[in-house]
Parts: sequence; structure tokens; C-alpha cells
Amino acid sequence: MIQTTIELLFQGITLGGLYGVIGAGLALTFGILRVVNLSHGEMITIGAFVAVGLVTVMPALPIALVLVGAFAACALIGGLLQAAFVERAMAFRDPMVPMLVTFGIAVILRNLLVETAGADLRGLDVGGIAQRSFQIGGMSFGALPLVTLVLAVAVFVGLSLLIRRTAFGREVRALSDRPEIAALMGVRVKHVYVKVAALAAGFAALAGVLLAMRASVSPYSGVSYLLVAFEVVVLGGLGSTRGAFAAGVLLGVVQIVSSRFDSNAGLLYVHLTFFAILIVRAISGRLS
Amino acid sequence: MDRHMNLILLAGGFAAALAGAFVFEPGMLFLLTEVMVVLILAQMWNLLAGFGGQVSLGQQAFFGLGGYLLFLGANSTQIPLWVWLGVTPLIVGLLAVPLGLVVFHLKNAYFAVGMWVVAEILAAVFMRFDFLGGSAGIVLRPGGASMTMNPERLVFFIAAFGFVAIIVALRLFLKSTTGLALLGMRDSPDAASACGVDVRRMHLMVFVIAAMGCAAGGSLYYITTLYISAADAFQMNWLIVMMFVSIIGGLGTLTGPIIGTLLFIMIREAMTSAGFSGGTYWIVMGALAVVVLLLAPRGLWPLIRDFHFRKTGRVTR
Repeated sequence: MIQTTIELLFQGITLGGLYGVIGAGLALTFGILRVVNLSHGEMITIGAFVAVGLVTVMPALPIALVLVGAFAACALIGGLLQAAFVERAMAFRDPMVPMLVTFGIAVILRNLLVETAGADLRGLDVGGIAQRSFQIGGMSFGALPLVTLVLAVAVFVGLSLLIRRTAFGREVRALSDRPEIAALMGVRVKHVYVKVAALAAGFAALAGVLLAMRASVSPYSGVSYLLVAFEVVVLGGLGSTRGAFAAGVLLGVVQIVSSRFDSNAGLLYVHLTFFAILIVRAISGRLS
Repeated sequence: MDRHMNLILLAGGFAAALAGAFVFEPGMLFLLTEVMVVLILAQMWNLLAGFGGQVSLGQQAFFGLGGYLLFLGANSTQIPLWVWLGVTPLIVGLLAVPLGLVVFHLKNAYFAVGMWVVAEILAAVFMRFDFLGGSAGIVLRPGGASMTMNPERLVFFIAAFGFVAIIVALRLFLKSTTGLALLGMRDSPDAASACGVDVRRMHLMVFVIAAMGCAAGGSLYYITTLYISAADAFQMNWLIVMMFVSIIGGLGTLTGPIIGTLLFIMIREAMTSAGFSGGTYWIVMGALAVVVLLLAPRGLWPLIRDFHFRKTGRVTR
């Protein structure tokens, strides 16, 4: 009983780490660009499909290189979209315009993926690592979830260091606090925006590859992942990487535990948890 | 002048809806009913986002709820289908009140995506529980018996006349004190609030009306298909349609969404008959929406209107 609980918790925490990563990407764009990027979910699926493509062409490719490839491809796409479209939309006074533009981009990307890759569910088979597991005290832990967790922690620590310790991070923080003054001080605003968008898309791709290894992925998966990312941001708070990680873990554990008791409910209990917390916050006035 | 215009609209709409219901063959009526439903949905999204300033990405929740409540109600009671058609929007309107009080705690983009989560919850609930139809969906069997009549003529008439009535109601509403308060609130919430407009109450009112309209659209649409499933009723595409159509045509105008809907249906029918897949069609619509947002964020109709004004010096509405 205790063993099952611990195994479930372990699975939940590893899944939650991934949810934290996709939430962190969304929070990054919202915190700095002030744009809720609704094409974030599509970056997750595209990352997964790039990985599927890479593995199909080169079956012997190590997983680290697959991750690097997916990261690079999505960072490129995310940066280009920011430079070509979102940047222009951000010039309008109404903050809803860039959000609606990213929604339009999401619809285009999703259907492009359907047209090129087909609408089927696909798994990502990276060979040995998916089956490998190890035993501690009679409990079995998969190697893949462990890799996932390590990667999630690495992303969070890396992001934190990048924002707090580097010159780029200083520009990002300055832009997030006082964009006008940062611009006056010589921060090249558009360049920073493009880099931030690329980084967020890259993180989404990493999470997408690992999510595709756990379960399968279809061009329509992006929508559910986007909503999970959004819930992570709302629950974890903007600009708090630790909050995003905690919220991701909460939702991940809810999903794993609920699917154990009610296997065909999908993300129902995850969404319900989010909504319940929202109601509590609304009543207690902590949210406004 | 304006009162006459409204009466003419109502009378003309009534006559046209009646004539259309008798003249067209069933296949055409099915398409035209869908057009009317999209027009109603677009006008509701436009009311919420364009006039009320609340962008919601979850209006498909009310659309699906409208369809489902009608099917569940009509199938399990002896109350006639057409009574349920009138009652369903009222029930959905009542449900929207507590929902609005919760989701209004989320602002702007958070509100938009929060509503989307609500729609996903409803989809999952209807998919999950068998007494709500489950993943198999529900066939329309009013009072437990199969449909004995073909509903498309009556449904088309109700949808077409209903749409005209909605337009007239919106015209009257926007002229009223409440309507002016709404426009003031959209343009500057703080200033409107300082002038004594109860922003929260106005938001809730618009939210409830839009919910009722979307529910009515769902009820009407699914009577013609005779079958409803959660995967179809709560799908994103309903939202995408009402949103793109309003944005492309012109948010915050009554004519814009009509132009957008006509474009939407024409492009779709043209592309389908030319043999393009559904995916290609959505790519085209998405691209059109993005281009309009970037080049003319007010939409096509204000563009046409301004052009006409510059040519002739006359204001058209």
C-alpha cells in the first residue's frame, strides 16, 4: 500500500516536473512580453513531432541529441514567429490583439501539422531507456521518469541562474520591471523579446519530447497541454519559478492519482482541481 | 426613422424566414440553418468581446450545454421539444450567473483562458458519465420516441427570425442608457465607473446574455443533426468560428460579424467543392484572421465604411 503510494507520487512528481516546465515557458513570455502566448501548446506538439521525425530517420540517435534537435527547431520557430508576427501585434494598445494573433497562429500550426504528419496518435520510441527501471526497497522506478525529473529540475535551475546571474537575465528583469527605462538604458528590446520567445518555445519542445515518450502525441494534444501550462501559471504565480514547479507537481500528482481510480477521465480532475482552487481564492479574496 | 427601420427589419425578417422555410429543399435549409446559427454565435461573441470588452475562449461551453440540455430534457420528459427549445437558454442563463461571479475574478487574458478551462471541464464531464450520454453521445428522441417530423423547416424559420430579432434587440439596446453605459465601460472602465456605471453588474449582464444566445445556437443546431456528442458540441472549432468571423468582419459593429460569417461560409463551401481538406481550410481562416488583426485590427467592415465615407462624405452604419 505504502509502496504503491510512493510509486504513484513518484510518477506524479515526474509528470508534474514537465507540467512545471511548460508552465515556466508560458510564464516567461507573459511576464516579460506581456503576451499570453496561445501557440505555446503547439510548440509542445511540434517539439514532439520533430523528435518522432528524428528518431524515424536516425533510430540510433541518442536521446540527448533528440532533445537538442527538438529544442533548436522550436526555438527557431518561436523566435521567428515572435519577430515576424507577435512583435507587430504588440504595437497595438489593446493587449488582446497579440493574444488573438497567437491564437490564430496556433490554429494555423495545428492544422499544418495535421496536413503534413496526419491526425493519428504517435508514440516516441527511444529504445532501451523507456523499459529500463531499477528497484529500491521492493519498489520499481522507471529510468525515463527519473531522466524527466532531472531534466525538469535542470531547466528550472538553469532558468533561474540565467535570469539572476547573467547579463541577458539582467536585461530581461529590467524589461519586465520598467520596459521604457530599460529601453532608454540601451537594452535592445526586440532582440530580448525574440530570445525570450525562442527560449520559451525551446522549453516547450523539451517537455513535448518527454511527454511523447510517456504517452503518445497527436497534433491536437497541444490544446490540453496549453491549458495545463496556463493552470500552472495561474496557480504558481507569475515570475515565480518555484511556484510554477510546485503547481506543476500538484497537477501532475492529481492526474496520476485520479487516473489510477478513474482511468478514462482524461484531464477532468486536473481541471477540476484548478477550478476548485480558483473558487476558494475567489471567495477568500486572494485573487483580484 | 430608426423605429421604422427596426419594424421594417422585423417584418422583412419574418417574411424572408417564412418564405425561405417553404421554398428551400432540406439540404439547403440545413446549410442555411448553420449560417443562421453561426450568425447568432458571432453576434453573441461580438456582444461579449466587441461591446462588453470581455474576450472569452470558452463560449463553446454554452453552445454545447444548450444542445445537451435540450436533448436530455426532451428525451427524458413528456414536455414538448419546442418548449424545451425556449426553456434551455433560460436554464443556461441561470447557470451563467454563479459561473460569471467566479470567473470574473480572472482578468483579461486570464478570464479568456479560464473560460476555456470551463469548457474543457464540461466536455470531460459529458464524455465521462453515461447518464449524460458518455462517449457515445445522445440521439434526439423527444419523450422517448423517435422524431416523427422533419424539423429543418421550423428550425430554419426560428433561427432566421431569431437572428433578425437579436439584431433589432441589439440595435435598441445599444441606443438605450444601459447600452451607452456598456460602450462607455468598454472604452474606459474607470471613467464609466466614476460616472456611476456598475461595471460588475454590466459585465455579468452581457456575460449571461451571451451565454443564453450561444445556448440557443447549440439547441437549434443539434435539432437539425438529431445527434449530439461531447467531442463535437464542446469542440474548439465553434469558438474559433465565432471569434474569427467577428474579428475578420469587425468587432464592436453589428454589420461586421455578418460580413465575416458570409465570407466564412463562402470560403468554406468554395474550398470544399474544390476538393481541399478541412485542415487547409482552417489554415486559410487562421491566416486571414492573423492578417486582419495585424493590418486592420478593427476588421473589414470599419475599413469599408471609412472608404465609403471618404468617397461620398456620407456616414453609413
